[in-house]
Amino acid sequence: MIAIKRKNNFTDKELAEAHIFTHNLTVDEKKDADSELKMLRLQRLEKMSDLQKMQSDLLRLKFQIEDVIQQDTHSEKHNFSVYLLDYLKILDKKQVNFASEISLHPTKLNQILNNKIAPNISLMYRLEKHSGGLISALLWWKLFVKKVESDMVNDKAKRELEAEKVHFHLAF
Amino acid sequence: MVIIQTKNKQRIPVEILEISAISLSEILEKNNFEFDWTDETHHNLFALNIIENGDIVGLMALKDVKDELRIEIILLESSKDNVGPSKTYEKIAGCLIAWACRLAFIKGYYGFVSLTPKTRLIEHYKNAYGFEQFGRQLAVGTEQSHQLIKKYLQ
Repeated sequence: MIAIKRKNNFTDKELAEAHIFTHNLTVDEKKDADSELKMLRLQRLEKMSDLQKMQSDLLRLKFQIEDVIQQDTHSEKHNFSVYLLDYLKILDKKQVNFASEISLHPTKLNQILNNKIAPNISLMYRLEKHSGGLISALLWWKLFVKKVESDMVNDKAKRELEAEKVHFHLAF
Repeated sequence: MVIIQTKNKQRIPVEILEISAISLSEILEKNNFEFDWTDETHHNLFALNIIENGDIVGLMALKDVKDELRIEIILLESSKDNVGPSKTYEKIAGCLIAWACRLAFIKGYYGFVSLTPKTRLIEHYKNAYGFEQFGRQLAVGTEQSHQLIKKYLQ
């Protein structure tokens, strides 16, 4: 390969620390290598415990929330409640049991999950503790605030309603 | 996410961007990379970007192997100035590999990432990033994948 020849003045360790090269296997060799990997991969999957799968799914949820927070826009499918429901699904928890575990009234949890009431900061701390610290309170809070920000930008009716209650304002 | 400036150990904020074939052409015009990336445009391409100045210092091509629940790193290159003892920045490859691991969690692959190494580099990938041998190929599973994310992305 041309590229690796150009890099001959580096040690293998230095090359490996900086690059992953394309393989130099023949088509048949690569096919065999892929079949072997597939077999070993499927064996590894079968050996995974439910706990390992759950931890992995929680990491998936955490990274998805991180990505949502980074987005410039917000949509309903990325509401706090959607991800909290996913959290319950990963843990295979019923709402009533989960509510008990975090000392929240089941009705209140249900209202949060159905976007009837907003979660508070206390809930975020409890979620952090419940996840064993894997998903931080701050991450949950930032996810919730994405919707608040979106609402503030788009809810013209609410802005006008509140403006009517202001009897004096600075004029620039 | 940060890379480290070698001379003063300063932490330099970076981001990883998914790029199109068009963006790739613009990056390659600057002549900072030596591999033939034009062969990889059918894969998912990612670039490591220094936020402050927009310099691209790393490229990576990934293949999504859905039926085996794994991401395969096809090619990864640190830019010319970032190889060997006089490199400008450290951790470029680590950040890109960890990003592939993160993607393997997001896609529900339990963090599984593989690569097909050149034989003589196998031990170095094992030592540097904790890859395990899976036949002729190397891979990281859930635990090591998570470790790489913690080491390079957080």
